[in-house]
Formats: sequence, C-alpha cells, structure tokens
Amino acid sequence: MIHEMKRLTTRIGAYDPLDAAGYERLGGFRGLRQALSKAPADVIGEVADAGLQGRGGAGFAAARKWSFVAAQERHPKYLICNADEGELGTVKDRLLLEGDPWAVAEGLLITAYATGADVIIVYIRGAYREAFCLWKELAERVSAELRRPELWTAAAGRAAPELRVVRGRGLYIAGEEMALIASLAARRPVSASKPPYPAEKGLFGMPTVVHNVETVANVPLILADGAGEYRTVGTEEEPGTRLFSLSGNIRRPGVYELPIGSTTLAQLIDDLGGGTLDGRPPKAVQPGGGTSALLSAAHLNTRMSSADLRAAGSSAGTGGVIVYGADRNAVSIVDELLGYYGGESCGMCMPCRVGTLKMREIVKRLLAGDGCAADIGRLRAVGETCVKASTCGMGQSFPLPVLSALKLFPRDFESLVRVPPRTRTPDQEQSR
Amino acid sequence: MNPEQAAAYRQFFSSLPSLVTAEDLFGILGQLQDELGCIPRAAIRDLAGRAGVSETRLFGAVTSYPDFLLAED
Repeated sequence: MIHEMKRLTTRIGAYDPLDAAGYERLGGFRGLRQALSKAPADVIGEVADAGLQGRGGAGFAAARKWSFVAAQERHPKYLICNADEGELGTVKDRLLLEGDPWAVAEGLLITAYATGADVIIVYIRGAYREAFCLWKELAERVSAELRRPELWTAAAGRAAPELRVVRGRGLYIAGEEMALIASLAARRPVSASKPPYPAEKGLFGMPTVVHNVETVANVPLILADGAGEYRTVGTEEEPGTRLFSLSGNIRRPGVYELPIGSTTLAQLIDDLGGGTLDGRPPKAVQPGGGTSALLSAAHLNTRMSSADLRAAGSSAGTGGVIVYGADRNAVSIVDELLGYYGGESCGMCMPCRVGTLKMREIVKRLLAGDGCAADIGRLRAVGETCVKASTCGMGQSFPLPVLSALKLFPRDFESLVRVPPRTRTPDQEQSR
Repeated sequence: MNPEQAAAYRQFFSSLPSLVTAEDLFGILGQLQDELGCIPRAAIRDLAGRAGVSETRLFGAVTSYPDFLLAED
C-alpha cells in the first residue's frame, strides 16, 4: 500500500488562505528569506542544482528559463504565472491556488528576485471564479507584506515587484505560452512559432518568463531547505514530487501528491484511487492530461516519471490521470477528446485548424456506421501530419490519443467499418 | 444592448483615464464584460481609438473568447 508524500500540499487546509501570519507560522517565507540573503545568480544556481522542471506539460528546466531572462538588460521584465489550467482531467493548480496561495506567491517573489522581474501577472482560468476572487484580495496583502523591510526592500535593494491578477476568458488555447502572452497584450490569442522565445521577446516585446503554478510552488521548498534536501525524493533526472489529478472511472478521484517515479500507474489507481468503479482493470488510461497518448491495461506497471511514461509511449504531461472503464470503446473515447479539442484550435496554423475538424469528421462517420476501411488510414495520416506540422504544443499533441488508440485498439476501429468502398452510394461518395 | 447597458457603458467610458495603453486593454475589456454583461460594439471603436491600436486587432481579440459577449449598438 502506498501513501501520499505531502510537500506541496502539506499546508492545504491548515491555515486561512488569506492569512499571511498563519502561513508564516507553518514555515512560510523561509524560502524567500533564504533567497534574499543570496545573490540572484546563486538563487538560480540552487534551483538548477535541484533540477526543477516545469510541471505544465513541456518539462523545461526552470533554472534555464530564469538565467535567459536574468541575462537580459531590458526592463520591465515580466513574470507570468500560467494558472489558465484548461487541460482535460487536470485540477492540481486550482488546489494550490485556493489551498496554499501564499506558497505560490512566495515562489513567484523568489522567481522575480532571481530573474529581476518587475511585474508579476497571475493569469487565472475564467472558470476558477473563487480562485480569482481570492487572488484579487491576496495581491493587496502581498504588497502589504512586501513593505516589511526584512521581507523585500532592505534585502533585495530594489523596488518590490507589482503583482497583477488577470482572469482568463474561457479559451483553452490561451493557456499556451505564446497565446497567453498575446492574450495579455489584447491581441488575438493565437500561438506563434519560436524563436524568438519569450525570455527574449515576450509580453509587450520585453523579457518574460512563464511558469505553471505547480512549478512555482516548488521554488520556496528548494530555497528553504536547499537543493540537496529537495533531491532526496524523486528520480535522478526528475527530482521532487508531482501532483496527479486522478479522474474518470475511479472510486476516489482527486489530487494526489507522490514522489516522481516512486509509484506505478496501477498503484496510483488501485491504492490511492480505490480502483475502477466496477473493479475490473481499466480499458485505457491517459497519464498526462487529455492530450497525452492512451496507455492500455498492459502498461499499468509503468512508473509515474517522465522517462518511464515516455518509454511506455505516452507522457507525464500535466499529471492529469484519466481512467477509462473496461467496457469503453476506444473510438468513443477519442470522439469525446476530439469533441473538446476540435473546438479549441486557435486556427493560426493549418494542420491543427483543418486536422481537428477532419479527424472529428472521420470518427463521427465511423461511429455513425458510414465509415469505410480507408477512413482508418486517413485518420492516422491526418493525425501524423498534425503532430509533425503544427506550431504549438496543442496541435502537436491532440492527435496523440487517437494515434495511440489506433495502435492499441485497432479492433475497436475495424469493427465499426460498415460500408465496403464499392457499395457506397453516389451521395456518400460526394459528401466525402 | 438595452438602454440601461448603453447608459452604463457611457458612464464607464467617461470614467476611464484619458491615456489608455495597450497594456490596460485586456483588463478593461474584462471589467466591461463583468460589469455590463457584454462588450458593446462601440467599446471596441472607443478603446481602440484611445489606446492607439487598430479596431480590427481589438475586434479579433474580443471575438476569440467564449466568455466575451459582443453586443451590437
């Protein structure tokens, strides 16, 4: 039987989320004090030693992002906390935002100190109304706390950063780094090809660092107890813990914190999640949110680390583990997923704009009993094109569940093929 | 847009500072949506003019979001 290891979630429920003193009593601000006693470059060094990686899906090394921005001379520099958590099956950021907001704020302040950021913007998903209202109030309290000389002014030797809270407006793609930057600049929220990277030319053309909420929440831990202590859990390449949002066909859905790589998918589902609703092994699992490739029951012994999940053919993504029950059909699973992502393409690049639509059409056709054998090949070809040719992470990854379903459950697709090509009526031929 | 909203919008716009930068626009649009329940077509024209950005850029931004409701005058 495995148990949770609470590092990021240990204070949740233990203090009033708006109460700075309560946070401090529980060990808060130790990381910020430690950081301010060092030079910014040493803070970056500590985070680099800890090996902190982004928790938003791409897994980029946090310290590298920081050093790129710190090296820039131009001001103002922006630090954006990406709390536009729109990935299917992922609710971990909401838990941190509402349960331990001061830890997120502290992480942001340390990041701002290390990178020299002048403005911190927290971009909160529109549907997270409670989190937004809380953060609106928190922003004022943070600036009040920062007036305490030992917390910022005297130590940092420069003006405290300004904390702004912005509410997203219900668009999935706005959570993508480049689209998020466009959104804040009141431009159409579409992705853009990189380079230039945000570190060089981000919000309003200025150096910008964008971090996921969970990434930021790890920062105070590293500074408070040192990189060595941080590295005592997790794997060599991926130290620390991760929050896994467990949902779908599961007895005890919720957010669970585990050391990276210490547990298998089966342990997460059975020991913490209480197993599937009917007790049978799941048909499929998405281990890293709605755009991660499906894994079948044969992969349940995969350890929950980026490297192991990649070897199994999927990815750790956002840590959103979605469990599909044994009697589900793979085609209906991908139909649901395409139904969501099909409406969320920003339309900036052609493969994703057309691909989301075409793939959905084919799947609908198969489900309606109008599909032909060639449709399966078409579905794969369109999906592979999107993966190779799309600009942003969404376009490159939304076809992955479909492609993995075609590989793992080909019978589900083949059994839906009803119409052999020669018996198609002229009308059907035309509508193709 | 009903007359009440139109009046509320006129008051909202007159209370804005005379200098609005592109930096403020997303926040102002959000405020409008939250206070009026919609974004009047006139606001796109007015805000674009005041911030010195093109009307098409702002129209494109506003119409991208499901939670922004564009209302004709």
